[in-house]
Amino acid sequence: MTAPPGAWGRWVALWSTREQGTSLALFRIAIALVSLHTVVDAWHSGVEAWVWTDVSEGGVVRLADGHWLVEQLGGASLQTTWTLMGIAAGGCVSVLLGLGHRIGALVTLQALIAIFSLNPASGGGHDRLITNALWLLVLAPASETLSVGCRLRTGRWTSERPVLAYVRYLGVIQLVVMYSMTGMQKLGSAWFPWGGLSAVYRSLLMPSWARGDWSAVAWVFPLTQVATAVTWAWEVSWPLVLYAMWARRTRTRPGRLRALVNRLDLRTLYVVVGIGMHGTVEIFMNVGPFSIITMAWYLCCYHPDEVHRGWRWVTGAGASRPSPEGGAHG
Amino acid sequence: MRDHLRAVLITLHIAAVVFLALPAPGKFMIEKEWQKPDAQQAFGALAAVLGVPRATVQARLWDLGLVWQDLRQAIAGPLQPYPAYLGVTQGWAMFAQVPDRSGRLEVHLEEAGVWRPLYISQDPEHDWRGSELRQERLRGFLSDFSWRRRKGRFPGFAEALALRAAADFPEATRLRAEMVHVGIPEPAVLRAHGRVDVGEAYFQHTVLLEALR
Repeated sequence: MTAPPGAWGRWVALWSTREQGTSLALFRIAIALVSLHTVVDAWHSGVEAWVWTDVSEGGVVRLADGHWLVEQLGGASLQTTWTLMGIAAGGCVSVLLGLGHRIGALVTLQALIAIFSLNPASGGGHDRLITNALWLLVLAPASETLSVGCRLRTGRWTSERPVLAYVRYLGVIQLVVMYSMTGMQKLGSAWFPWGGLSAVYRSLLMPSWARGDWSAVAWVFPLTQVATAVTWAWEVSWPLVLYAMWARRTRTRPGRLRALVNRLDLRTLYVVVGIGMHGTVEIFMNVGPFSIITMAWYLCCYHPDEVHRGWRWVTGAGASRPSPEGGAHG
Repeated sequence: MRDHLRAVLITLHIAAVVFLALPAPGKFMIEKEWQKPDAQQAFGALAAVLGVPRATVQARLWDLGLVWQDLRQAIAGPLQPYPAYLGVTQGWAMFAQVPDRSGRLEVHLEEAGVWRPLYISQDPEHDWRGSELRQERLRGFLSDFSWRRRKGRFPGFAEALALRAAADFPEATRLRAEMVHVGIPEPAVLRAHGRVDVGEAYFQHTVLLEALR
């Protein structure tokens, strides 16, 4: 498209950017797997009979039945929960396969919102990340490649057909919003020097979060203090990733800061710290699918050309091709 | 035209997401919470940086909070259908406060007049229904009890435990569920003692099993 001059024109051009669909497709697959895991794990463990069942049927609370879909299915009951879980699982499979994935994402989204509404106390940040991702997948042309839909349409599993990149950009913005807001709200003194930077130490000893008895952590307290400081600083400074993405997109322009940020690949630095942090949390603490769903969103940080290069590097499938954007990745 | 419309809708989406993610002051505007040592310590630190009395900092922040509360209410109200129907829910207060005390769940069973532990958090020796009680959904539900919140829900939870215990242990007569105080000691104390401090039960509910069979 030909963008009109001025800030609005550049803004319109940014959101009209097209690229290959690989990153979006991987995001689609990852979100489908995590969503499916959320439903199947609840069913497999039998926990739905505790938290998404009315107290009259052996559940732990009187369920809220105000959601329109719950009403349509006859009100809050174990039968309704199972029906919603079945609908959500079916939708997840559609998203995973990339076959009618937008409808599948919308169906899964509505079913999960209905399930989560039954007993909000049984949810957490992971649920918000799942539903936000599903809404983006409703909007996203995420099954142009790596999908059954692609196979049926082209006879191949992959396609180079360009797709709108804006959903991937919105994914990065969601990560920035989540991390910076969670960092800003870490106001307890345990996160700061005047509270002894003891937040990570204490978190590891909380029975409600810890996977086991980690009393030995007292012997490495200084390490947990460093982890506390790094976590807080890393979270509140996530808006820098937006600048890093912009610097990458405009890397052919001059500027020392831009060059430095690109040379360091600040974005990947944040992603690596995130993987380390969420990986550690996953090993030592029980926070449900929060770590895996968050890391699924990291896929939005990478341009398809970078994903292709990474894949070729992993598989040793020849030298990297030059990017059609001349290396200007956003 | 389509590109412009898309850009407009995306702009609205970003504005909504950012605005809804801004902390709701309700959680913070609780006078009792502001008097707690943690909060007072934070106000003191800020007052020291600004070079003004702690009471002044606290009063100004309270006024600011009230303004923010009104503004957020006015703007967030009309936006509510977006997250409610399309899942764009925000709200990222995670690990905001990490206090030095918590709680652990203990479940005890009475058989032939003798009580024995059935489940104790993080104790592999007493792990009845552990895979369910540790599953994220139930763990999340129970974590409120760890923070001494939603006390009114504890009896309902104990009843749900009792229902299952009545089926699993046909001879058992009573079940007692309790949340027990856990104090997180300073590292030096923990190194010396080797374990966290476990204290008295602060929530407790006992259920007769006979009526449930």
